[in-house]
Amino acid sequence: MTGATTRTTRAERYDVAVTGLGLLTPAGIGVAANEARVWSGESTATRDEALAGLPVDFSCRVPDFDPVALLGRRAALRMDRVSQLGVAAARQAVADAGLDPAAWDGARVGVVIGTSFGGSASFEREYDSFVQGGASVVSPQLMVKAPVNMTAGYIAMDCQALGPNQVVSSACASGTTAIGYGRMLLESGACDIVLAGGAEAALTPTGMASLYRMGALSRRGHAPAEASRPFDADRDGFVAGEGAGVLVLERLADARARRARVHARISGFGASADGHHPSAPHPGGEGAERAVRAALADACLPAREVAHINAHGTSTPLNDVTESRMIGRVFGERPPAVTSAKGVIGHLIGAAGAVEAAYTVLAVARGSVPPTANLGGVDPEIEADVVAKEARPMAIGAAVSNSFGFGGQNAVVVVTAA
Amino acid sequence: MSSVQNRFFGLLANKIGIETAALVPDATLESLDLDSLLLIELSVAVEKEFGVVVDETELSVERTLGDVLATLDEKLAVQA
Repeated sequence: MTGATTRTTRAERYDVAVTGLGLLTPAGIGVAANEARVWSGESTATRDEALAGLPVDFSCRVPDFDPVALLGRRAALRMDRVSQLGVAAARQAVADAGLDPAAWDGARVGVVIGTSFGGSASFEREYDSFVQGGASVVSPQLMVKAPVNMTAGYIAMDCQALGPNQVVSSACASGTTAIGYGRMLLESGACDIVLAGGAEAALTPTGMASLYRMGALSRRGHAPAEASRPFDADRDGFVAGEGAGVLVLERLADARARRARVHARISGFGASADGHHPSAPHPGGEGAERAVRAALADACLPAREVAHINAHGTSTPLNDVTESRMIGRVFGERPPAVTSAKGVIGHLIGAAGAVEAAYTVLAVARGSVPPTANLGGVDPEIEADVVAKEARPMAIGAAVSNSFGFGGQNAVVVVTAA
Repeated sequence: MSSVQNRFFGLLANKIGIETAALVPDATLESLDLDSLLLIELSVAVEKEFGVVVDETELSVERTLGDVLATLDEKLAVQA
């Protein structure tokens, strides 16, 4: 099996190169740590001291993250954790791309970051202060920590990316949406380089209590490492996580001209809205299907040439069945190898799409699909070729990464080989 | 070094993020790169730590850490 696709030269004109990756996730800090853990298929979910006493007291946190050491004390104190993670991921990605912010034309560098909750953890802390001590003890810096736009703003300050700068928010699809919109900034000519990604750090008691009460979270507290089990017959909800992923995107011709290493290409983007329910997917998966088909059309790619799908695969009873049926409808002719990274890293909410797109890029570049953690027996209602137990080496010419959010917001990117 | 100075410099290091080596009585607030938001943050931190209000007018950028410490000492003496 070869990795070649039948896409035309004209279609390839709209591809953008992924030249840099930055990852801070529960699987570790840096691309190498993430590759090692995700391809091993070992879950990262563990007891979380900050959630002690809550009905769900486990999560997936970024291990050994020291913002002061990475960013300096002053910068670390000014930012909510979501921005600390985002800035650190952007630095990694820029370095991986072999770019030097001191030498680039910052006005041509854009930033698009996806997040769902932004700095809500800071808001929650200051609200506690307000209740206890009144207005005079509320930190004035709350207003430069909590707003969702600040992560993109801090990335600009940190690396002098002075072009278009924004945050996009489409719940659990935010990171994927950011990549799609970042690609548009390159296609339109507004930017020459875009740092696109996602960041989330909202494992707060209030947020977790609400997720628990709505029934979204796994209740497998007796065995956290077995709690996130996408597509498994015994799955009962997702495990919430935090982290950030940033991709450096450039037009393919520009990347080639500067002889940059191209990990893979972003060749298509599709988005849609279910218009159905605040949290449940459309029962027929129609919105998700429209997003996938739009992404394939954007990439000028027939479904049969997609070898791998990085599924949204949340490990909730509803998502995994609905998503697998949609995959069957779109790709039934030649079923791709499906995986969900959420078995290993949990659900990174607004960062999930960016981190999983980065894993999809790595899968294409490596020629290997990572396994879905904790997949003992596939749910009989699910008919998909889900990779379990160990990584599957295979040539991957084209792959798809799915993200579906609360609010019925769906976003999908197509990744093709460099 | 007085215990008030110790505690005040501790706030500057831990709440405002200033490197310990830069914390000398002759340093002006401006030289420590303290902008208006950080000065309000410092004012909040001082009130929490010492129970006295050193407001923004007493934390103008040309003042030195020694000046602020003198103000703080005066207020603590009145309070005592």
